[in-house]
Amino acid sequence: MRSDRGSGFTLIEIILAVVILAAAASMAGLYASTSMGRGATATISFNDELTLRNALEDVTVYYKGQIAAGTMTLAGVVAYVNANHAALVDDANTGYVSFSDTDGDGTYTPSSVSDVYSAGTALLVTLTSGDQSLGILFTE
Amino acid sequence: MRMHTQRGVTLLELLLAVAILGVLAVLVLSSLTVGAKGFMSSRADVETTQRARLALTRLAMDLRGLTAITTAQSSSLTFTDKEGTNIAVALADTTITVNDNLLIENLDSYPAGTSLFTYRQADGATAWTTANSLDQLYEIIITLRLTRSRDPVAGGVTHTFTATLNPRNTGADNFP
Repeated sequence: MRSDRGSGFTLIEIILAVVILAAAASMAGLYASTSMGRGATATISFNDELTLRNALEDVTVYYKGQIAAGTMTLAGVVAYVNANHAALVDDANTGYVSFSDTDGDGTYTPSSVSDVYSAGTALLVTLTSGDQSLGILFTE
Repeated sequence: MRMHTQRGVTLLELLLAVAILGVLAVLVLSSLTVGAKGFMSSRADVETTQRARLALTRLAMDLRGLTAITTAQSSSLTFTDKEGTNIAVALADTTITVNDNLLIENLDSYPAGTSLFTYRQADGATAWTTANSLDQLYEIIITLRLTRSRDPVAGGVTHTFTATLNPRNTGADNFP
């Protein structure tokens, strides 16, 4: 007759099963909570976009107003942007740029931004909000 | 010959197995429910955002080119666009109409201190009214407060979208 010992689960087996189940459950929970937490991304993105567009509108109006008054300077635009939209300005990508066609293929590429103004350079203002950014070029 | 005793499953074991499966099923299903709610919430957000984008784009395009304003209230605005057409925008209950055609629905109410339209003069603080000249109108701020359609969250969620636009044809630093 066959001995019937050892037919139950050992403690190790049960613990292993519980650990695997817990890991699986926590992974499923993570996926689910991600879809909840990031659900509003579309709305947040649109609000970032609106923030940038509102700032663009404001700066453009200032720029055009200064041109019409004959008092436009690029330094003035920089000062206006820093005074009114400081929270949005991406300093590393805001400054004076010049365009040149170094390889003669007809495509003009911008130089890296510089804080030093010289005649003929354009002003690049980069605004960021959330993960979106908006570059605006101003010329004299 | 070996006796083949047929050992079945006892009732207790069966009940235990069913109970464990039941607990597992509840756990799995509840996490699925969270995922489904997340999907429905995202869909409601995207729909709301899209409605806001359409309405704001339409209003901003028309208002940038305005040439005259006859009424400028916090919840209604009548103006003449650049083609000379009179356009009346009005908020009634939870919908905004443009010349009596539906522009957007499912708006939330506006609590004190907020309004659909805000008009400002060039200093950015003083309110502009039709008593002032059009040249002094610097910006119009549109605030949409939208409730989500088919909202999976009890009580609903309100999203607020704000667009600032500067009419181009007025004299306050604005030029076509």
